[in-house]
Amino acid sequence: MSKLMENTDGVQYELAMIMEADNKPRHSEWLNKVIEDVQDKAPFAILGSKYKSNAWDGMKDIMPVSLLNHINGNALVSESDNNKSFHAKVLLQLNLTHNIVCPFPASSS
Amino acid sequence: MLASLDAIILRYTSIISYNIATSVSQVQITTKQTSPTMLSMAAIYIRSLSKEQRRAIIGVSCILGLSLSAVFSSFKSKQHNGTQYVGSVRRSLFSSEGVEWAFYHPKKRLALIRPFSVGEDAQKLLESFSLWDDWWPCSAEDNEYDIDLVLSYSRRFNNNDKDDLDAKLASDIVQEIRSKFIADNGWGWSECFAGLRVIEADLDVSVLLSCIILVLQFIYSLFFFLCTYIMCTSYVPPSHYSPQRTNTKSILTQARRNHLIGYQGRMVNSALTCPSLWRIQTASSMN
Repeated sequence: MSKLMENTDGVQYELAMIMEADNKPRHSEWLNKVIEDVQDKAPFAILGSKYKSNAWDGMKDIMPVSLLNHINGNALVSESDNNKSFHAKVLLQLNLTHNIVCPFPASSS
Repeated sequence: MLASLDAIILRYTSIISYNIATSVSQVQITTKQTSPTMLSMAAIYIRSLSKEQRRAIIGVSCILGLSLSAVFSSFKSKQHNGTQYVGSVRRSLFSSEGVEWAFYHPKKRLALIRPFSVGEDAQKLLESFSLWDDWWPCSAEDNEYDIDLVLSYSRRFNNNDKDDLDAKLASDIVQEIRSKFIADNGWGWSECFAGLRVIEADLDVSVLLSCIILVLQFIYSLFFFLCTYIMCTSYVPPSHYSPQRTNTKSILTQARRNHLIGYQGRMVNSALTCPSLWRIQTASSMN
């Protein structure tokens, strides 16, 4: 994620909001509400949740834990300097436990 | 027979150790010359262990090898050529086409990243953007954040392959969104964004290859684990075999009858493990 943010023409972003391709808005001014959430919840490293849906209920027993508990692809990631080492640790821990997987090709710097 | 069994176990342990060493060298933590050295050291160390310790180390090696393989393969899958900046459109007070960056940005910067690949994903991305016409992202430009819309293509736009239809399709998608962004000229949802950026994640088929390697390593480790487990739980030395001792219960009964519990209670408690079974049975037969 850090590499991704640093290689956009040398611009450094404080926040990255990952929004999957199939994400659809449900009301207008949704981006304003996201910003309000950011202001309410700050400071944070990742603002989001793990995947919540009943789409897989029928086959929950046979699905791997890593897939059931994966982080939702729509989340906000804070890229402040304080969080960079935290992200590296989180990614390492996620990979070690394999209980949660990162939905996006993240690479810690 | 037990001696040959130990030789087999030693061989399996060495192979698994070599597997671990190879996994380590794959991520360049060690050099290529380190693997044989590690193997030799592991073999010398394993020879100094008792039979029970050797058998125990097989299980540990299986689990450790599996974990390391999974972790290293996961790391390897993240080794791509780096995200590349492709281009941007910057909204400016002086030009509708967008020009250079301003020199000073008092606002915080937020990137709204839309990752996509071609195929169904691309279609969903376009549908998603079409919905933005009805559901505007914002009512006015945010005062605290400069928000950039970042389109992130999973592979490369220009990979020197003229027949790569995926890259062409991805370029078309980006062009369509870019045209829409510019055409709005501040009157559509593009008003919510300070600029449009396009990047490519440059993921390639090596990621898929890493996943296949991970599965093969898993099967490989599982195979040795199962072999070891079956060998430990089902093997009975033929020279001491008798019909009365066909299961664990009869062996335990025989052990109690021969007063083995008193001075070898610890072994009886762990009678479900293969080394203890052999030892109890051997001792019982000797009585």
